[in-house]
Amino acid sequence: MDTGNDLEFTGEKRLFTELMDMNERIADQGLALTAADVKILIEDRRRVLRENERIEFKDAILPKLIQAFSDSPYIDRENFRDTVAELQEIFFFYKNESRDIVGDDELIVFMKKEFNGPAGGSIEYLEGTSLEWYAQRSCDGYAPGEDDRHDI
Amino acid sequence: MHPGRMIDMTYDAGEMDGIVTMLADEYTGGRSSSVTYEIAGQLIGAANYCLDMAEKDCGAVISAGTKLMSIYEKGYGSVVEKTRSTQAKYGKMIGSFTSFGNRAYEDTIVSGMPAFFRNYDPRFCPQDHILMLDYPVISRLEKLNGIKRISSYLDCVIIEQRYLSMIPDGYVREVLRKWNRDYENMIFNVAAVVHRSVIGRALAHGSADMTPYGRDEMDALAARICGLDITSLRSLADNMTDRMIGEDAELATYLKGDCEDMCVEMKTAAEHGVLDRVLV
Repeated sequence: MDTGNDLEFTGEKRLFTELMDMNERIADQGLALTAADVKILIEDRRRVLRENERIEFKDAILPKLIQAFSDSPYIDRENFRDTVAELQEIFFFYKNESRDIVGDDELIVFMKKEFNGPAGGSIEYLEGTSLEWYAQRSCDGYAPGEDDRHDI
Repeated sequence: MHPGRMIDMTYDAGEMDGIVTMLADEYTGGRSSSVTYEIAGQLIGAANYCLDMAEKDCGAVISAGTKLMSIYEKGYGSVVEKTRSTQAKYGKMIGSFTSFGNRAYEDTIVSGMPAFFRNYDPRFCPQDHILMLDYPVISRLEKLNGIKRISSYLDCVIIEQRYLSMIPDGYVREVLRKWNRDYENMIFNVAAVVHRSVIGRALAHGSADMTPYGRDEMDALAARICGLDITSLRSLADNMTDRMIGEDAELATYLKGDCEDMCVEMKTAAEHGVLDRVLV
């Protein structure tokens, strides 16, 4: 059985175990991550953090993303891993774009609401429309939860 | 970032991670599990600065097995205390401070210092001294940063204000005007210019009064300076400084910090027949 021992860093080995353990919880949604999937996500995490010049100093965001999006009607077994990888990528990108004004949980809640709502499961819409607006609003000093897009 | 510590791995790197993680968590208010490289670097610098403070100011010894977190907290406490005592020192000095109309001196001390105390962040960026120290003091402080630099800088200002207060205000202003009509807009050390004048006059006519140099007097002084090598001239200037203000050893040591430059300038000017441009 693959235990992730070949991963380079201790933190990544811990994350591997944590993500593999999540399978029990997401099985209800008909989702699953293989050891190979988890390793790809962890390697992706390393790349995305490097590209966005960020460091995770405590718990990784991956388990939170998986937990939040696993009940989305737009995620199934087929697209699960790739969608999580893309969500992770845009999560860190928009942490930077919003100049860290937005907290992790707030950002995930917004991403989920948009993904399941107006984006209709489209990562492109979520990234190019919803998050673009959200980051701009946050930088302009509006409260992250304040949404007046439909007031006009 | 404080130089050196990143390669000084005499302590458990995991413990260092613990300090930086704690700082990052506080910095983000617990709302983010990640920070940018820039913030991470700043927080590592903050941890290093406090550890250095604990070692140098509190005598803490960091070695293998040391509980780094408690040393960090000790250093952080020391940074906070030094900030408080520096602010108190500033408050005591500013009432009698005079810039003699020099803008850089005025801006740095009267406007810059309070802004520093308002904005200094001992927790997340103690290594930064924020303040643009435009007014140059005689002592070299480049190796210091954060509150250590500001505190030492302020010590220098206090010392030179003590010196300048011993000299009539009119004398100081006249020397500065003679040195450069636009002295108010120039960046230079006031005490050094005044002290050069004092030493020059003492060398020329045995006292530091504002009697103008006579042509013969200046020629004789130039000849005397040309006849001395830099070491002898430096020794003469140091001795004169000691004789004049030797009872205030701290002040004498501070002013002697400029004697080397002063002697080189005097000698060069004397050799080129323009000593009157240096000694005003």
